Amino acid sequence: MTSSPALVADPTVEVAAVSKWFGQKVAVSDVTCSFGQGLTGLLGPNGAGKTTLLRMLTGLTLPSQGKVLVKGQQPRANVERYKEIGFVPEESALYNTLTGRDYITYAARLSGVTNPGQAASQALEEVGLTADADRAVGGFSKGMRQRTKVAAALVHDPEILILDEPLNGTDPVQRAHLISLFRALTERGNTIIVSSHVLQEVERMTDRVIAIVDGKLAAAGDIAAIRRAMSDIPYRVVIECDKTRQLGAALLSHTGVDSVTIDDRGLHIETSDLAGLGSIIAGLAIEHDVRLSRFAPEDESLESVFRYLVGRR
Amino acid sequence: MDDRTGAVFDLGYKPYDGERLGRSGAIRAIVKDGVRRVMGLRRKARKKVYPWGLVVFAVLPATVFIGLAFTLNAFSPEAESPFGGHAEYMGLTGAIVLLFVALAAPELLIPDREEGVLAVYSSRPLTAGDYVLARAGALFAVVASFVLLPNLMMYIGFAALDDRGLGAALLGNLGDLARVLAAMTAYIVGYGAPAMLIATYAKRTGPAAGTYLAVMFGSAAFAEAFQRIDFVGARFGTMLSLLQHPEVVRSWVFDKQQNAAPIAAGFEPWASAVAIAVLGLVTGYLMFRRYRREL
Amino acid sequence: MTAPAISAQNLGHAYGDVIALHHLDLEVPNGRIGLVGANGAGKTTFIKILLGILHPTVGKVGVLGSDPAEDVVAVRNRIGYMPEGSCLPLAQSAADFVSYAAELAGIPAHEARQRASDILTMVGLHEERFRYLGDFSTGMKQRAMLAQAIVHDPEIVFLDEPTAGLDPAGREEMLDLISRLGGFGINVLVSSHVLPDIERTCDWVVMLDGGQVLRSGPLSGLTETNIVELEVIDQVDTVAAELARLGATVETRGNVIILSTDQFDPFIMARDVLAATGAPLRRMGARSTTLEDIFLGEAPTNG
Repeated sequence: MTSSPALVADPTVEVAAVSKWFGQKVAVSDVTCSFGQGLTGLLGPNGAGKTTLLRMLTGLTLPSQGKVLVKGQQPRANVERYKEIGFVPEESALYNTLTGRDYITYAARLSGVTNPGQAASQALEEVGLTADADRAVGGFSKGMRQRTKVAAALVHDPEILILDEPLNGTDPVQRAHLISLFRALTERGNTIIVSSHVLQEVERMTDRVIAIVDGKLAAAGDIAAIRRAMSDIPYRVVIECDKTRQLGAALLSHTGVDSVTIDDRGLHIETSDLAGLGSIIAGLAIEHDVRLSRFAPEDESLESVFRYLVGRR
Repeated sequence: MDDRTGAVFDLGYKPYDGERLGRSGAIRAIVKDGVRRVMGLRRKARKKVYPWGLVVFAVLPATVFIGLAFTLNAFSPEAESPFGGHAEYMGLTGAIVLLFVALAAPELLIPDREEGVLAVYSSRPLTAGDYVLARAGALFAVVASFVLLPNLMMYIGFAALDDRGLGAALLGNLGDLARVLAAMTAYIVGYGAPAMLIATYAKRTGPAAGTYLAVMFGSAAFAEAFQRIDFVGARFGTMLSLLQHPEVVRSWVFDKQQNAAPIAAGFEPWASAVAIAVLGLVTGYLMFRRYRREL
Repeated sequence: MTAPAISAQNLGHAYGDVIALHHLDLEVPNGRIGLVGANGAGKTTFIKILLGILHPTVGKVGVLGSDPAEDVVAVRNRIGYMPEGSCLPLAQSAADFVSYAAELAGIPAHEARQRASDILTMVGLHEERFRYLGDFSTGMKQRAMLAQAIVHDPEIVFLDEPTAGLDPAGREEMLDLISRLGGFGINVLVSSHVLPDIERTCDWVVMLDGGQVLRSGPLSGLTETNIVELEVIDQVDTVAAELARLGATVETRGNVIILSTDQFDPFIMARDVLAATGAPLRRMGARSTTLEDIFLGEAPTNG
């Protein structure tokens, strides 16, 4: 039996046939997937069930049907499981009057860490907040609040980190820093689940995603492989050159090409055989004395993949 | 030859080339919006209950007063109405003004600030000062309306009953109207200013109203206490009676008996008028400074 | 000669002892302008000064040729603003509020209502416009905020993090709307941390760092290089070797070849070598620095 890309070999978090409804509204419908060591992106349009799924993963809500297992046990039933999870929520959940250090030390104490002060200092160091740690959180910028939340979730050294829009409000430098922190954590063996709408950033953090659309599992696994699996949607390629119409006409006679569109940006090709097109394009350009300045797939990005997923309903 | 024609009309963006009324138009819009906010217009039904309920209480008794005066007059033309005139009515509506501004001031100021709407004002042709004045103006206009209306009704009603005849009475009693206006201003500023001031700093409407009422009633109790203390300068404590200054002014302009704490402590009635004026100016200054920071 | 959209001369601002901006000089032409900078670089302070909310400690600033510190009403008369976070009164309906937003700009009530209606349709709010803003989803709120910012047909609109909180579809639509604003004759200043958004919608970029201007110029000028980057599906070493043999400077990273040459046209070279070796092409194009690269200081120097 082939294993689904939605499942991993050595899972730390398992979602087994989980459904959740609120009265008539089915927020999550029969979702089965799992997460293991490494970073997985959790994607979905607003209102698609993604947030509800996250709440079930952290034990804040119980599924109406099915089970969520964290290291083999259900989080709500077994309170020690909470020690394994660190959660960074999207909403601002901070006490404005405490200093950064105090808040994180408090979080450490709440999780029963043996040396809260030291753990707090370490967490602050990891997120780059040591310099501002002793200022009140109320005066922090959005990016700093974000890093404070991440530090608070890290302070008890959990194996599983669940982050909801963690890069919200961070500037590019802070973002790069946090992304390399997440990568370092996955190398240490942590399971990280990141939910984000900024797909370009998700792409930089991971190759594995789980997509929830209308409460159902819409896609799972490696991004490029997901795109390949959408075999009914031809690849789109943009070509820029100095003799657009000539090259366009030449491409039309090639059997692998489904359609050729010309606009002021260049040629847009649709083909089901991307590799084939890549093999013949240089030769074709020489044949017609065309200077090729750009050849780039237009829809392999996670954004494009996602658009197709959402559009398939 | 095909004579049929058709056209597609552009539904896209069109620039606006029409009239622009500038700063005065903006201020007028803020006042109109202020009136609607305070009276719950163009908003959920439940927001209308409190303000309109109070307005009914402010205006309805006037109809009763007038009705009774007419009835009395029918039986004995010479008797004076024991149900009182403007002075007493002002005392009645004073309480309503207090209750009204308690919620109206927060409604005028807090949502704009806490919901971020000030950002919109900062991209329109107006200044922070314009905003503050327009909001204060809206409050003044609404309260003045429900204070003046019943008094005007009574003014005309009593004039109709007057022996001198309607026309002569209307002109002859103008002094009463002037007194009504003076007392009204004392109430609006004396009660409105602290309400606006608290609403300038509070974060939520309910607590703001509650704090305001607590402060106002508390100030009276506080002042009463000072009245009983026996050291030099204690009497100045009675000037803290925010609740009673407008009443002192009312009794003063209508030449009625005074029994408020500041008077008992030996102050002249004009001191209350001064206190109200100072309160108004200080409030205006502080509001302007606060809003200048954000708008 | 048209005044620049935004200008600053020796602009400086301090909050007590903390210096937010200093010695800031800038001249930005009309068009679609991106404003980027680290948190704390002074972007918010700069925007507040442009709006006339703050008076600069030192120096002058100009918006469409007028100084907000001198005549704030004149400047505010020509601008629109979509702030970060929310700016909507939750107890009012969208139609009502956007109409009010137009009246606030001095547009008479009748025209204001008409204008609000047209703009709400344009941003994609239909029957929902009669519901209270408090009941709106994030995406709908962002649209309402954009509507309020342009309903009075301003000459320049400041947008602060316009795609924050939007899901990918919402972000797509917002960026599309913003891109179209230029076509309507409205100048745009977008301040954002999401650099791909800026790359997509803006023609000019201002980069602030530590309270000063790090860079200010056309986006294409900042990002184009004459280095070619190509990725092949296999035979990367063959292709790289052949290119090097022909005299180009070659660098390989996995399946990606970065090539630059002064003697020949790198594109023609790449094309010829690909055809000769028969290596299947994955992608090819001028290597462009992203704003992110510039930001992080990793910009490759022009070959």
